[in-house]
Amino acid sequence: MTKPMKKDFLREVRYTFARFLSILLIAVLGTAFFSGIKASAPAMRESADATYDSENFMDICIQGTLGVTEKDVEEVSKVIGVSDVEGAYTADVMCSANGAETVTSLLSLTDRINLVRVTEGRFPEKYDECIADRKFLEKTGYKLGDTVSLYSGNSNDILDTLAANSFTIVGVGNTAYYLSDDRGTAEIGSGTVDAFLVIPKEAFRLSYFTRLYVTVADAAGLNCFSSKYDRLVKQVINNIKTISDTRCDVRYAEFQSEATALINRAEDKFSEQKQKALDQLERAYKELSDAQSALDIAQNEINSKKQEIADAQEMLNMQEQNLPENKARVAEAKKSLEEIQAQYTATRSQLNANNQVISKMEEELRRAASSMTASDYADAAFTIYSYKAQSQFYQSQLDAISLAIDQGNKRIAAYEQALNGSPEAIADARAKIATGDAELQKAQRDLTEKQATLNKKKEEYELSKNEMSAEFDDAQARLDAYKQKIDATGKPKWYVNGRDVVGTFAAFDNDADGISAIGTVFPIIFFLVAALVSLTTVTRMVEEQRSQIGTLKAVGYGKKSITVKYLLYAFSATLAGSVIGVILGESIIPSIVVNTYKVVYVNLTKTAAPFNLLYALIAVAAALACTTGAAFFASRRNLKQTPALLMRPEAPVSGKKILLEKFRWFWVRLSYGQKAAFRNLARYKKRLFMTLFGVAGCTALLVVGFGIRDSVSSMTEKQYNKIMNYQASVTIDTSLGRTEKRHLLSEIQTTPGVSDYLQVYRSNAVAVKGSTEKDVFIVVPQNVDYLGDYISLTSRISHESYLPDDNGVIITEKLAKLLGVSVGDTLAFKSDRDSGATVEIEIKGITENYLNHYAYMTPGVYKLLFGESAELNTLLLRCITPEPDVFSRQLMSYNGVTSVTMNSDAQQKANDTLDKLMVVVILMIVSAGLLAFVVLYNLNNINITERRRELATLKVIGFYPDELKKYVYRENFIMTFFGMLIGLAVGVVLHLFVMRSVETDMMMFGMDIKWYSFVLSIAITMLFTFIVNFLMSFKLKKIDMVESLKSIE
Amino acid sequence: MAFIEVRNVTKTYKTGEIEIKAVDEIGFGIDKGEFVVIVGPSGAGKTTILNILGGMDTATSGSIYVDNVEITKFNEKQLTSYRRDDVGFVFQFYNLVGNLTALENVELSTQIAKGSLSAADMLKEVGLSNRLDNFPSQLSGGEQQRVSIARALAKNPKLMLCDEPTGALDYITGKSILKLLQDTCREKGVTVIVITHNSALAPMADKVIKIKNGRVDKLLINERPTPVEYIEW
Repeated sequence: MTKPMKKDFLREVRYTFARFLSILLIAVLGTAFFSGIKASAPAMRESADATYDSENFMDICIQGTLGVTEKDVEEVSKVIGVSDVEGAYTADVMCSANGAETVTSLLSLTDRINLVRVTEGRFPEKYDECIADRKFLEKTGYKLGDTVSLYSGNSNDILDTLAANSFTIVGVGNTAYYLSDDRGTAEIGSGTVDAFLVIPKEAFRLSYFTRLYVTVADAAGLNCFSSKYDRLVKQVINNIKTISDTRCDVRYAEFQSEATALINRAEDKFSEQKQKALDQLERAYKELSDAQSALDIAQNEINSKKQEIADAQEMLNMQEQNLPENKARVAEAKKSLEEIQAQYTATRSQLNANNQVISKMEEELRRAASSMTASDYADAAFTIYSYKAQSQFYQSQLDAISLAIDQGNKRIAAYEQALNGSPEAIADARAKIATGDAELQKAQRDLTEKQATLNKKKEEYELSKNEMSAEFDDAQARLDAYKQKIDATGKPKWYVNGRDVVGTFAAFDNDADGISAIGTVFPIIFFLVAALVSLTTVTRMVEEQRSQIGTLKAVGYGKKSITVKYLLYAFSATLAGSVIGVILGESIIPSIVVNTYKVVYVNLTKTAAPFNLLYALIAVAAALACTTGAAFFASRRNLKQTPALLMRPEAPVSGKKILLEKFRWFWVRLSYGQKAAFRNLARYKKRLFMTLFGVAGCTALLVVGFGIRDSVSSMTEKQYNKIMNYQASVTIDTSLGRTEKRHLLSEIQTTPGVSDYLQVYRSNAVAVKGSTEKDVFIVVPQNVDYLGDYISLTSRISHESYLPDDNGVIITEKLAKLLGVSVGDTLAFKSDRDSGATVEIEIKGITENYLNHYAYMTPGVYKLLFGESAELNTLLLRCITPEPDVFSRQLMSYNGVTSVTMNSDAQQKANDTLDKLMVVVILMIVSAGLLAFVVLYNLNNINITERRRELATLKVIGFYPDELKKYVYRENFIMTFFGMLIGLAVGVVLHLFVMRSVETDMMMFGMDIKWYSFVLSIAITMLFTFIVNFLMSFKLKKIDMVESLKSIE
Repeated sequence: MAFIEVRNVTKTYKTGEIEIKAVDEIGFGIDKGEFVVIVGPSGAGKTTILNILGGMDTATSGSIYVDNVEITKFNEKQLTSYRRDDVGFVFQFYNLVGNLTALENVELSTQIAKGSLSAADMLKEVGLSNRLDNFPSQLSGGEQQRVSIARALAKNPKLMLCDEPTGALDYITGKSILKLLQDTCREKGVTVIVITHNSALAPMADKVIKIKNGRVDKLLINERPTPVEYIEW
């Protein structure tokens, strides 16, 4: 390049700076987005890695089904590749505060691995001090310095696990173990862990560790998301697995002896308590029987008294019966007495008569005595004497009668006396009997009452006896169950996992992948547009300078040295732009992305966004290739012409009839402006394409942006509202007895809000087809007929509904796709990855499903495949509940419920996670706007400068500013319109691509985009167009009419 | 008052610190229906006068009356309306819109101007009745200039401003264009102002205004203008 040419170049840049800027700007955009978004994924991973490293986060976590011991720690630390091992305790407990229960995970404070970061306060110094999770404070309302009390949340005593049940919060902290606000699940309370507390190891009373944290030598230096790290850790995991068998044997023996001792103790205690209780019962029984016998005696007494009274009564009755007989006897006696008395009276009168005779005779004798002979006298005297003897007889008779009368009187008197006295005696006796009877009745009543009380007591006794025996049976059963459990507890198993055991680790990796996929697709649009911008700009420049090119050629400059200017123009603009873009992009976008993700991954304490040279170089190279290539292409055509031709002014643009004019009836109806617009469109094809591309790109970006949001929300929406027609799933302790299970089911059925439930067996398994293996949930309904009411088993494409039958299984769509199978094919299962495959079974249906993989089968098929029957372990509930929290807590309170998952919670969680994608949507809108801006600005700029003369003329002719704008913008609008249409179509395709790349194995996005997203995309594109046009109108205003007078250059 | 009255018009351009008076206290009058030639060397201020007269620029001071209306007091919008309805421009390089046919180019002005005439008739009058549907690129320079004149005439203007109308044309074509302009002036009574550096054209005018250094050097009234056919240069 000669010196003048250099100068020319520099001046060219200076004079056409707007054009230079448009190439530069689109290069900035393209490279910034490409390198920025591309570098975001590594930055996210770096940040997470730095966060993990800063807390010396475990590389491997060992969990044993029976815990891990101090000795295990020692053994693991000897394993090759292990750098450090630390045992830790964990427990889930409850804390009641702020009117709600907080399910709290307790973690033991570790010394070397999985360090806790204290952000406020200090570390615990005493065993009853703790560090609280920020979420814990939020949920409970406790503050630093408060004391919190904890309880177990199940039948166990919390003091079995912990040395204290209240802890003083001395610090607030976080740990990389929980990068996000997700704290995992628990088997108590609502089933979801709300927060964690970190307490000293001494606060745990467990005899074994619940987890071992292991760090791997040399792993900290590697990015934990890299395959190198993966390989290293996997190797060590395998190393640990080689000793796990031995360790588990040791642990098993230990456990068995421990358990046996425990059971023996428990049995002793049980029998002791049972004896005690039995003694007590015995005593109570004795007391009761004593009381009964006392009562019995009393009853007997009462009974004898009753007998007495009855006897007396009988006597009385007898007496009463004798009374008339006695009366008759008295009357008889009286009668005979009267007869005797009559006899007496008769005798007495005979006597009296006799005596009178005697007196008379004696008188006569005395008087006649003197006169009477002695014989006479003697006669007389004798007669008298005989009379006297008569009288004497009478007298003796009288005396005898009188005696008899006396006797009779006496007897009568006696009779009468007896007769007169007896009614009184009877009345008396009766009164006596009555009082006796009343007393007796009272005594009887008392006695009955006493008996009733006693009976009640007896009942109580009976009841408590039954209860006690039930309790004993229960306890015995429990003891037996425990024994059985211990017997059934097979050899323990170790779960040796890498960091992916931490849920957020995998989720985070996934999110980074999603971002990376987006970073691949979109910059393509920018690079394409950059090429087009460069193409039009350089074309315009070459056209403008054709005479100069001709002159140079004439002077003797070669093609190359002339071309260099234009290539350099595009090259330098792009280089400057892409360097700026890469620097801006890599310094701004990754930290924006990382910081945005920090909203979700709150405990991501480090931000590492190192400059990613690889992506920077790729971005710069791609941008340079696009624009310089386009520039080369644009300049080549003109340079081919001869200098003579070039030096003549270019023939005026030749108007051409366009195809549209064939339709005369339409064409004649157009105004001259519309005609000009259509002809312009046909004439400037490059610009047409650039605008179409730019606008289409803008619309497409928006469609994709909004589409991502739609797909994500429609995925969860469909999964939880259309596919899963149940609202909660409850897992049930499989060791429950038949009665307990029945009891639990009726409890659940009667829980307010529950309308129905389905008993299913659900477990994890692996679906196998050829060499492809995918984790799958097996769902076996007890009653297949109702499965369709709980889970929609319908094909997304054919809308055909299925039910599993005894000849095959139904699997979900994504699984079928991953395994490459369709209806009628067969597949096999494995109960886990290490076990052997089952027999092949036919696929009867493939159903719509978005999250996870499922295989539905009948109990018969399950038995056929796995050789065991599918026991109930899960209930799917259909319920209506305004307060899912309260509802799930209630379910958790039932005996035998091990966890409750509310679908509304799961949906919320899924939505929250996917809301992170909003940052992508915003990024899309911003980039769409920038794209539209650069393209339309560039286009208008060229359009206006090129047609300066024409526009000036129109001004002179008297066009009002609005008319002028209309004239210029009309073609913009037409192109924008078609660009938008293309953009919608491209957007749909691109959206499909993006969703496919963001999608993980475990999910399938709904591919639909809502109608309003299309409307919104169009509206925003139009808005951008209007903004650009508005800005351009200033430029239009500035066009000097004097231009029209100038000669053509 | 004359139909067009220019009084003490001054136009000053400022470039940085330097002030240049393109037109300095200039004044003249033009009657209705006159054919006027404004002639002067490059840089004398001809174009400035044209700009101000045509409503494309404003005067720094002074006033211009066109048909008793002071256009120097017009605002932007009024000036546009003035150009739209009252002034017909004929440019040196014709300034046709390349993408429109001859007819459409004329329609460009007839569709916006009040009381405009038929575009097709106008083209017929300028002798292009058989080229209505041709694009500018398919027309010769003279033909293009005729379209340009038709475009100016079609709006039935109060005055026609022609800036070097023959500047880009060959001798014969130039003559025919000038004749068209002269005839138009005579037959339609349109006031025509031709601006040129070619003083040979002066004899054909009713009035010749010679400009020099931004001032009127001479103002000649030609009682008997020479028909174009007799003028040679």
